[in-house]
This record gives sequence, C-alpha cells and structure tokens, in this order.
Amino acid sequence: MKGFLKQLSPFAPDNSGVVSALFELGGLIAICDAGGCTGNVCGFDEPRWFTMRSAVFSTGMRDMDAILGRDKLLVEKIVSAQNSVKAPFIVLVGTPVPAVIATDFKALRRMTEKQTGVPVLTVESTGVNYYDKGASKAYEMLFDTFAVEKLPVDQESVGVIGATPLDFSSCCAGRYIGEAVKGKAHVYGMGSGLEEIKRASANKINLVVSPSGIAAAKLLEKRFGTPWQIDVPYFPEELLAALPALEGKRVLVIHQQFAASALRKKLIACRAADVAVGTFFMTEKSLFMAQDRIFKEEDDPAAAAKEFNADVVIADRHFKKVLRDFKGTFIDFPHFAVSGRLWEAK
Amino acid sequence: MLKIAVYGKGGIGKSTVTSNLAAAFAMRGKKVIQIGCDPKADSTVNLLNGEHLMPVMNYLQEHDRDPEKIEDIAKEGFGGVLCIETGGPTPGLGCAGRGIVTTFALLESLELFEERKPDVVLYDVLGDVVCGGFAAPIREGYASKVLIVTSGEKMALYAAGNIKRAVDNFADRGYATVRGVVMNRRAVENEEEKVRSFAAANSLEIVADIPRSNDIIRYEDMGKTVIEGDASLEVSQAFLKLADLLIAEEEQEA
Repeated sequence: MKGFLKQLSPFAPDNSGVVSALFELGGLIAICDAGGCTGNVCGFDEPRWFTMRSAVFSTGMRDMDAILGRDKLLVEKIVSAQNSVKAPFIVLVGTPVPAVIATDFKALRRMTEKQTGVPVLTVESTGVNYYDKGASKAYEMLFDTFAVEKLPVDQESVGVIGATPLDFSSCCAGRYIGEAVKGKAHVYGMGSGLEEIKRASANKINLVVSPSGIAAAKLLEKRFGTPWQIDVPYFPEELLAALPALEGKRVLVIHQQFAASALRKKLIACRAADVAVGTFFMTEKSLFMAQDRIFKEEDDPAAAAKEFNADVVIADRHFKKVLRDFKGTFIDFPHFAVSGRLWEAK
Repeated sequence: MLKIAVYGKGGIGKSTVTSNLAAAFAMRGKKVIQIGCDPKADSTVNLLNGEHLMPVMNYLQEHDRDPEKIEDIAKEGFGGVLCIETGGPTPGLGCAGRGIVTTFALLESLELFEERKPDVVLYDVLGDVVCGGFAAPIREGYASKVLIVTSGEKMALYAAGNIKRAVDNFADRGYATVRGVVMNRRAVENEEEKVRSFAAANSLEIVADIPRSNDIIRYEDMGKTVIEGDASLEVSQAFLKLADLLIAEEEQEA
C-alpha cells in the first residue's frame, strides 16, 4: 500500500509547516479545522508552543459549517478574535476539511480583509502534504505581502530563510544559526520578526537553509535582485564531534536535503569514502547526486543503505525502526518533523 | 483575456452553446481554451470530430501522479481550440465538485494560461451551482463573466433564476457577474415572451437568440459544431454574432 507507514509515525504535515514558519511573527493564525489539527500543530509539532506566546486559534469548524459552507460564520469568528488580539496581520491555514470541501480561500481573504482592515494571508495547506510544502507556501506569501519596499543594500545584512524547529530540532536554532553566519544575520521566523521581513530588500544575500526557503528566496531575487545561496551553517555539536571518526566510511545521511547535503561536505572534508543523501522531503535538483535517493516508502531507507553499502547511517533515531537489518554504525541527527517530542518524552 | 463560464439546467444545451461559441471565437482568429467541468466529460466532443478526450480525473486515477505537461491532458480541436475535460468520479461516488477544483489547481501549476496565452477561455459547467466546487469556475482569477443558457421551459427558467441568485450571493467574494442569457430555443409555446419576461424580472440582457435547428443535431452526429459544419447557417451566425459582441466588449473594456 503506497505511502503507508507501519513503523514510523506520520511526519509533520503542511499545516504544521505553515504555523512553524509564522509562529513568531505576531500574526493571528487561524487554523480552519474542527480542532484536531490545531491540537496536533500546537501539542506535537510546535515546541515553541510551550515556551513562547503566539495567537494560534482553531476556527472550531463543525460538520454543519462544512456541509452548509458557512464562510460568513468563519469570518465572524476571526473578526471577533482579531478584535481582542489586534494582530498586524491574519493568516488562514488550510487543513483536510477545507481541502475536501474546496473552500475558496481567496474569497475568505477578501471578506476578512474588508472587515478587519489588516492584511490577510491564506495558505491552502491540505494536511496531506509534508511540513516543508506548507512552510514554503507560508514564506513565499509572507515575503510577497510584506517585503515590498526597495531599500538600499546593507553590505553586512544577511537574510536566513527556511529555519524552523521542525528542521533544526531546537527552539534556539535561530540564535545558533545567527551566530554561525558572518555578518548581521536575520533568521526569519526564528528571532527576526515582521519588521525585518519588511526590510528584506536591504539584504546583501539570502541564505536558504532548507528547501522550504527556496520559493521565497527566488521571489526576493526576482523582486529586488537579491542573490541567494544554499547553506546550512549550524549542526548540533555532538554530531560534528562524531564526524572525524568516519574517515574512510561510506555514509548515508537521511534528513532534509539541504542539511544532509551540507553535512556531506563536512564528511568529505573529514575524508569519508563516499556520502549519499536520502530524504522523504522536497529536493533541489542542483544538490542531487547520482547516489542520492528520494524516499517514498518506509522500506526505502533500508534499501538505500543496502544499495549504497553504507557503513554508517546518520539520521533521526526514529529511522532505526526501519533499518533493522542495517548492522553498521548509526548516528543520531534529530529531525523534529520526523520524530517530534517522541524521544524527549522518553 | 476573456474568461466566460456557461451555466444552465442539465440538458439545456450548454455544451452545444459553449463549443459553438469556442468555434466561433476561433473563426474570428482567437486563441481559445475550452474546459469542460462535468463528470460526463463530453463538453468538447464536437470540437474533436466526435472523439472523447481523456479527462484529467481519469489521467490522475490511471497514472497516480500529476501530468508533466499540458499535452498529457489536452487536445487541440477545430480551429486550434485547446480542449480539456475535468471529468469526475463514477456517478454516486466521490466528489465531482472537488474534482473541478483539483483540475483547476493542476492547470495553474502547469501554467496553462501563461504558456498558452489564450484570448478566450470558456468553462462549460455542470447543470447548476450545486456546491462550492461547481462555483469554482467563477471564483477570483477564473471566469469573470457568466452566461446562462435557458429555453422557455419552466424548469430551465427556474434553474436559470437559481444560478443568477447564487452568483449574486457571491458579490462580496469578488466572483464573476452574470453577463446575460443565451436563449436556446426549444419550440416552447410563447418561448420568446417567457424568456424575455424572465430576463426583465432579473435585470438580465438576452445576449443571444439561438434558433431551433436540426442542423445542430445533424452536425453533432458527425462530431462537429454547426460553425465547423456550415458557418453560413442562421444558427451559426447567431453564435458568431454572440462571439463578436463579447469580443467587442472585451476590446472596449481593455
């Protein structure tokens, strides 16, 4: 059965990616669901929910709301929430129910903007794609809406797009990435807020740290001519400490493609024999090498390890479950979108 | 770009009107796309010499992945009209309205309009606005004008009234507006009077008067529109006149 996960728990869905990209920006985030998706997003996929305030709401859609298409009621609820939150912008996030009943988000945006007078972003996530697609749409819409003014370029200013705890597995990742970047780094959505996004045209360059940042980086390049490059400047210390011992080894790295590819460079620098990258998530062609694999099924990582004749697998430890025949060395590289708080709880 | 959605009661002749209008636009040198939004998937058959096109939903079901290019799900018919059929689920199963929305999202991702740069896009929509999916062709970014096809039959006029009210209800959503009524004559007693009375009561203009004609059936049996069959016929001229009117309006608005 295609895409059926028997060992692994489901990966973070696109609506979680949307919220993760926008969580720190001060907007009113309304998840258009009955409540379950919001529960998953906040309770499982967003570690900052427990340490940081953010206005994330469920629209509390009931079955008759869906059957009757009560969009006006939905808008009324959002307007009511906005009257108390007074957020600078509103985000409407899609989930499976609006996807199935084909909710018209453009119309909702028009109706909500008219009644609230603030910009409304609508991200048509469906809950059936992975987190990175949702985050990608959110970043793109965010910069498209707010990064409109052309400012003089600051030679020290570096934008960082695509950093969320889902990929970097730490609420402090924004600070770590910022410290690792040369120049004045603005890690959007993890330490840098809406005002920095509005000033994005002043960046000399944008660093894209995950595939979800690509669309926004391309938009800023088209709009302001800002160049961008893929780079992941931060890795957990324990992981980096393990690399020198892998000299001469064949290593399979399973993670989001940009992190795995950046780690490949470090492994090659440590004289690893060869490195393959495997991912379940979005990929950029320019990074893809002949030995790399895009995974669709949970048996694929084991097949890739065997095919590549890997001595070492570096991946979130949740993947150990599907690598039972692998007899080599396993090194943990946490990926929150894959295992969430599973290990933290244990 | 002129984007028109054609609505009307089931069996009233929407596909006949749409495909003849598409052929008429093509005769006037326009680059046309016709998208059939009906699970029956027979909107474009008379532009394609009677050949049925594989609907988008069938493609997705068969291949279990999105098409890579427009040509996988579209075919050029008479006058270069690019024909697409959304198709839909087996009757009684699934959600046909959702199928329309999925098709539109897919066409957007394939950058259909950017790549083909059509002058005219026609959406031929199933019977009535029965759910959100069937209103998709008139959502922001799709059709900006609606034509309602009706005869003088009571139920056809009733359906036309429902469609007008549904479209009016969408005013605050930035949807299309009703441009007018296409009177498709069905030899009903006092037909013109009935349709004119309906149009006046709903503040609508009758933009075309399509005469009852056996030529339509004759050429449809040959897999053709009457425009393709014989453009000099009175019925063909009615379609050409409607195309001219809409082209002139579009030019004026531009």
